[in-house]
Amino acid sequence: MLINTGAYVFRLKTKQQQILSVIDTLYGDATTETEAVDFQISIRSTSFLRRFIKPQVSFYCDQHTPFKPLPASQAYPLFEWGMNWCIATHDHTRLLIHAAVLVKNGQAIIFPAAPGSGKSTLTAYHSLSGWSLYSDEMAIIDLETGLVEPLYRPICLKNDSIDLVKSWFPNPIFTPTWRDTQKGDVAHLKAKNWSEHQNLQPVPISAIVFPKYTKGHDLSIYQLTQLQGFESLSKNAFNYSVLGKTGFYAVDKLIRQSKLFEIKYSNLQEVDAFLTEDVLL
Amino acid sequence: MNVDVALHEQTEIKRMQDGSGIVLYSDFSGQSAFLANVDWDADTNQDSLSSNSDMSQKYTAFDVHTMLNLPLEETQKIERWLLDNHFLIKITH
Repeated sequence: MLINTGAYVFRLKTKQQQILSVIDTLYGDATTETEAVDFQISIRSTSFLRRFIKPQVSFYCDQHTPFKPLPASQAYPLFEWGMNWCIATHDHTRLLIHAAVLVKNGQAIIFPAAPGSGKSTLTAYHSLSGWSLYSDEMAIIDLETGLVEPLYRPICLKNDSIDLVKSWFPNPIFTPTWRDTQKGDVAHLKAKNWSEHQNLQPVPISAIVFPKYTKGHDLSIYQLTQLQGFESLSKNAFNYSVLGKTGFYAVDKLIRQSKLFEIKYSNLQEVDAFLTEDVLL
Repeated sequence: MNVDVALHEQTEIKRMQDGSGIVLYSDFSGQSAFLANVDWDADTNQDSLSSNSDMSQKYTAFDVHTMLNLPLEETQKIERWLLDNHFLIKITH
């Protein structure tokens, strides 16, 4: 089957029936006009025996398997992580940053962050509160124009944030929760449909905000220097060193055109107010 | 015999507009270096090497000791690191 994420098309081969219905829910409305694909991937049982005894599956990109096998019950998270791996390790025609991307009024804010920073919870809240979701996982930036492109992928929520987001927004589409994965409990949220995605255009980046969730913490805002921003952003880029001088120029250009902040927060309404009133023009 | 420290031919420098420092990128080693509170003027540094050497057409001086307002030992450590990672090169003349 073909999976169209907008910027990349995947051809998936699998006999794991339990993930096909989830894929159909999250990606089934994303039509493709071409048979050309960027990545050939598969989710397969690791051995004949492992189909029956403690079933395990592996992710393959062509014949390469970058991860250790996981329990078959975790096939769907493995599929999503595998797609991330394909993009991050193969696309060196763009600058790829480990960051969420939200857009309002034609301006993008990117949120580079380490795991555990609350990035996906922040992304889910805003994407269901009037912001356009461009990406939960990686900012895809054109090296020539500096514009960030939208990606048609769900938001990956973890642990306590799953029930938290469900309590805020009971109607959106969630996948089942996969328990005890290497990242804890995991569920995916479909925050937009294909027709909404098709209306999204590449947009300029106006700010880079490094978020850090801190329980019970009032919103604290720190303006970063360009040097701090350059260092932090280059460390969050998947392919900065692979791109070489081109990556150096791209990050420099991005830093010069963007407002730079680090925030500590616990209340997402405060974050929304800050982003809308103080960060966007 | 004099020894100058200069930028490696494959090192690029970007000066931050807000004056927070400079970023060096070595296309030789693929590494970046971040020097806070340092300013950079290529023309001035070009002149300083040209007064000492015939190599001025090829190399640009990079005097870490003047640029960094740090104790000597710390400055030497930074200079050594920049040399080891091919951001800088020693010119003997």
